[in-house]
Amino acid sequence: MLFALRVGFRYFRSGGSQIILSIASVAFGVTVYLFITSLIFGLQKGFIATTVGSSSHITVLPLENVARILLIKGVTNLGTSLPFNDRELVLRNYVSTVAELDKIPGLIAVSPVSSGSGTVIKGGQVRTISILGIDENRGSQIFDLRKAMKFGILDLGGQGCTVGVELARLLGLTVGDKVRAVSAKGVEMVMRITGIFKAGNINANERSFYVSLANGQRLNDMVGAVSRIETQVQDPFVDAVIAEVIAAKTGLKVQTWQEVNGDLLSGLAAQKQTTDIIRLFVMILVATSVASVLIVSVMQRSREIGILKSMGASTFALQGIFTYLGALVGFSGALVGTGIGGSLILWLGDLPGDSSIKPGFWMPIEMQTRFLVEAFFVTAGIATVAALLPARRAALMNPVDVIRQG
Amino acid sequence: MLIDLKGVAKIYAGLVPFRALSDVNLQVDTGEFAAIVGQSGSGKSTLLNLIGLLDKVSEGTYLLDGIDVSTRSDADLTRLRGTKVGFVFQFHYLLPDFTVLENVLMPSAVLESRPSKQDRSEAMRLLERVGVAKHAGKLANAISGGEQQRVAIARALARGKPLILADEPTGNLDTANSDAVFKLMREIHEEKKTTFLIVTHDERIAAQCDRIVKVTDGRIVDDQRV
Repeated sequence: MLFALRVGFRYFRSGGSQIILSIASVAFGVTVYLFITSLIFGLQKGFIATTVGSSSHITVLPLENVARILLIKGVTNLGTSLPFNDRELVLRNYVSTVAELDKIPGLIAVSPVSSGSGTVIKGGQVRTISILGIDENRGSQIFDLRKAMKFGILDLGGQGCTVGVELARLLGLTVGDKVRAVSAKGVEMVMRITGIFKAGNINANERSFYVSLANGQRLNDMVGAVSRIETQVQDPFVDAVIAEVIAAKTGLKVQTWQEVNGDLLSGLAAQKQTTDIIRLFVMILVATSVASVLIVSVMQRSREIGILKSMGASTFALQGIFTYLGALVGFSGALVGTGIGGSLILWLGDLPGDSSIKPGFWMPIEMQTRFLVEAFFVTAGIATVAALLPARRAALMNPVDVIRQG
Repeated sequence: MLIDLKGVAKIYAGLVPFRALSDVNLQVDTGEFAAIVGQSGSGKSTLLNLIGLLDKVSEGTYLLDGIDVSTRSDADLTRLRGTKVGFVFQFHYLLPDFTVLENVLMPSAVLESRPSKQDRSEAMRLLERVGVAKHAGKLANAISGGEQQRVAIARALARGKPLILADEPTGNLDTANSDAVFKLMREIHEEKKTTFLIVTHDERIAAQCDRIVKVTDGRIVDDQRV
């Protein structure tokens, strides 16, 4: 095969503008491949960060009660039992569960939450709220309350609480004001506003009422217990594996963000399919480009192919020459494409992230090394495969025909 | 005996099968210098292609250097062609992207991938013998037509092939170059005792060969030793 490689390389070197154009075509394909992959990745990452970045990825919940089946002699099936919840489901032994979860690799945040509904009263106004008792530090790892603060600070100690900007606007609250919180369980507490936050979700801005975990447990009548434990993972798309580990270790009910956000996932899947189709078209473009150049090359060199055959060049060797030629075009184009495409994407990714600074220029594009590797090898591979057909055509040429008529 | 054709026919398939050669019987000894003559379309080039293993016989048997090649596979014929037969065509068909020396080394490269030092020395000797050694490093398309045909002869002779088949080797050259190329082939034949079979319709060239085989309508109608 060294012979085929040497001849293929010589043809590549002396191919002139024909080879340069085909390399440019492959490079363009790689650039588009990289661009679309990085753009969709950036878009999805940004979308997920906005949508689930500030909420729990995997939530640990109490097991649901299951109706006990009364066994009657001679009767084995009394029908399907339905769960019944005559008492609120809570996690009683949450401290040890949190300690257990802290040890699981891949979890980057673990936060016990005591939640329940209630109302907040200020003067003559009453608003429905969601009372959320959290540990300041652990809770901020899920939703960064400190960063979200618009007024005041995050201080849930004592009677401290923090509310969203919308609730503050509706009730005319400012930092330092006192409000009366009454839970659905009938527990009442006077709380002091220490901070007003702004979340990306209007519902959170209007309803969330953050208090310390202890106050949450008191208001929600679950002292010594929590409603759930919220967690976050490094990569939200691989949380299914971690969810299984959590379920196995804790024996509790585990719910992933994908289970909760089915519609969102369908949207992301549709976006991914569209990307795959665009990438397929790009690969077809690359394959067509390389194949067409090689078909022309085979036609132009038919006499040379004939004379090589007359010298004893095998079908395999002749096929090798044009396969190597296609591979050289593919690898060169892929190299140029990853260089140009990679630089372009890095430049676009470095543009300021705030669209108000450079309107129309910013895009949520993010490149990963694996995209470069993938684009390089996929494109070079496609180009090599595309060369097989013209190479086969060259190998099967009849030397008599091409020498006399070629 | 180097070439032994017995009752050979070549039939091209098609809607109406075409019989290009019929009942050809030809024996050529090692070291002969023979011409195959005939009008255009008489079947002389078809005969050369069969002898050169570029094509397969349809009927009869063909022994090349004692090997029955009538029933061999394409891969076997390719291998035998590489070791036994050198071709010189009307047009030189040198590979334009390679140097003159690389073109002469090409038969070795085809068979062994990397030509040896011995192959290189032999190629240079052949280039010197055909008078174009000074162009060894030039690209094949950078020398004149007569020189290119000389390089093609050197390439055909490479690796000491016992049989050289030349299809109108002077047909593309002016008289001076034509005479020079023929003289060169004749001299090499004298020196190396290589067997030459030359297809030509140039009577002047044929008359200088030791044997003239005449082909008409796909049959050998005359075979004279001069």
